[in-house]
This record gives sequence, C-alpha cells and structure tokens, in this order.
Amino acid sequence: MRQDDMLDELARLYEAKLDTFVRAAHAITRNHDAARDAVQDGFASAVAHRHTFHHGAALETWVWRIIIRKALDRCRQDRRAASAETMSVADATPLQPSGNHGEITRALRDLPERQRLAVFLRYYADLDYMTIADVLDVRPGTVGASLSAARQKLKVRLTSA
Amino acid sequence: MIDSSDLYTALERLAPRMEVERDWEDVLRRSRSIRLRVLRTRRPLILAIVSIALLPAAAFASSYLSFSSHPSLRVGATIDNARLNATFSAQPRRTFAHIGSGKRSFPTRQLDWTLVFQRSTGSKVTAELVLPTGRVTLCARCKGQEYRGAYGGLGVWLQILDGRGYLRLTVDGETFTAKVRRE
Repeated sequence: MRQDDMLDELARLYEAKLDTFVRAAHAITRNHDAARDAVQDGFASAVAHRHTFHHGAALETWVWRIIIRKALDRCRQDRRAASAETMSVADATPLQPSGNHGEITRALRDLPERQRLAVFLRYYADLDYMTIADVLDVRPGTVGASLSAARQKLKVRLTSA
Repeated sequence: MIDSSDLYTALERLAPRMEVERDWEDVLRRSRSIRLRVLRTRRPLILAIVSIALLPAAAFASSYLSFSSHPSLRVGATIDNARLNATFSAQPRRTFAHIGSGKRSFPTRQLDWTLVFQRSTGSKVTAELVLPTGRVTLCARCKGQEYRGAYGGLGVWLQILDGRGYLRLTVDGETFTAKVRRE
C-alpha cells in the first residue's frame, strides 16, 4: 500500500469508526474530552508513522493498539494530575453511578487493566477474540480467560454487595 | 447476580453512545507537529554522527595527521670511474604518517628515484635498475645531468632491501654495475 493510499484508508477508518474509538477510549479515560483528544492523537500518530505499518497486519487493529495506548497514557496523566489536586478521576466524571448498575460500574473500574480492556474492546468495539488478542498483544486464549475472569469478578463483587 | 443486561447497561452508562464531530484536519495538523518533533529530536543525533565522520578530515586540516617521506629509509648506488660518475638514490614515498606527536609507518609501493651524472664523457649511456624480476630503464641515451622518476611495487622494495637490486650503466657497449644498498 502506498503512503497516500494508506492515508486515505486511515481517513476512511476515522470517518466510519470514530464514535466507537471515542467510546472505548471514554471507558478507559472516564472522560469524554480526554477520550476525544486521545483518539485524535492516536490517528495523528498513525498518520505520522504510517511508514512503519507492516502491511501484512490489519490496519484497524494497528490503529486500535495506538489509540488504546494513547488513552491509557492520558488516563495516567489525568490520574497524576488529579492526585496532585487531591481529587480522584472518578469524581471528575459526570457519571454518578447508583444502585446495582453503579456497583457494576465501580466493579468494572476496579478490574485489572488487561481484563478491563478486553471487556471494553469486546463490548464497545465488538472485536473478536483474535483481534482483541492482536490489539492487547496476548494470545487469543488469554483473551477468553481475561473475559471469563472479568465476568467472574463482577459476579463475586455484586453477590457480596 | 450479574446478568448480561446489567453488564450492558453498566457499560452504556460508563461510556454512553454519542455522535462525535469529525475533524480530520485536526488529525493532519497534529501529525505534522509529531513529524516536526521527531525531526527536532533526531537533529542532534545526526549532527553528532556527522561530527564523528568529519573528525579525520578535521585532523588532516589541522595537520594533526600528515604524511611525509620516510626520514631514514634511503637506498642508493654510485658508479665512479674514468668514464663517468653517476649516483642513483631512491626513497619510498609517504611511508610515514605523523599522527599528532607520534609517527606511524605505512608501507607504500611508490619508489621515488634520482639519477645524477656528475661527470660524463658525452658517450651514449643507458641506465637501468636491474632486479631478479626484471629491468627498469632509468634513462636511455642519457645526456642530461639529472633524471627523476617513480616506480611502483612493494616487490621492488623487498628485492632492493634484500640486496638483489643493481644499478647498471651501459656506456658504448661497456657495462658497469653497482649494488643498490641501504644508505
């Protein structure tokens, strides 16, 4: 694929799936503006470094990987900033969970990072296990195990709540 | 107990569906600034590599590294008789490199030679350097006072230093020979 063709491909992907990318990034950063910024940065990085893309791989998977990394970076930055201001990121989000759904939301936030990302990519992006494995750089079996463990933890958490 | 609908609802609440405004121009703007940032980061590295590559050239320019003739290696032969007086001498070219205050010797294949006639009867003279591997004509029908030339080959040097090189002058069919020795 030529550089110009790849730029067109990235533009098409951006146009078609921006909402999904931002939604998944939102779940990671817990802030819509931060998520939007991470996705814009992720696509900019993909455009700037498109010569490094291995053409045997799937472009969308590559972009997901970049955006997840950007969202996690953004999340960490925000967390540092928030701790400096002695205010948690959760407090900054407009979401105010309550009742059973609120407990699930809190439980989701408390999941280990890989499990949480697997859940987000499965439900928000509707990616299959193979693609999630590529994005998270793990084996497909690990994705199944992570999703299963995540569901189990959520179940335990809600049963004890 | 957790069920799928609870999980879906929670996920919906965590990151609600919404239409996001597209701004591809902003993406392109950000990518340009990334490329500029990369260039700025790489520039000092490129400068460092170029500086290292230019170091030998700078050393030459500042005479830190220079070449000259070997000061001590010199060979020669003299033929002095009633008919003529001829002196042959030769030096290797640029066999010494001065690196800073030190000197390093490098073998070169070039041999700079001089043949000076101080007295000649005006007869027909031919001068040759004779080696086991062949003869080198220094001058044929030599009538001048001084001849200079260069001859290549590390083998020539090895033969001369091994005492197997001779200066041979032929004057009107009569031959005179002298061994070329280290001076």
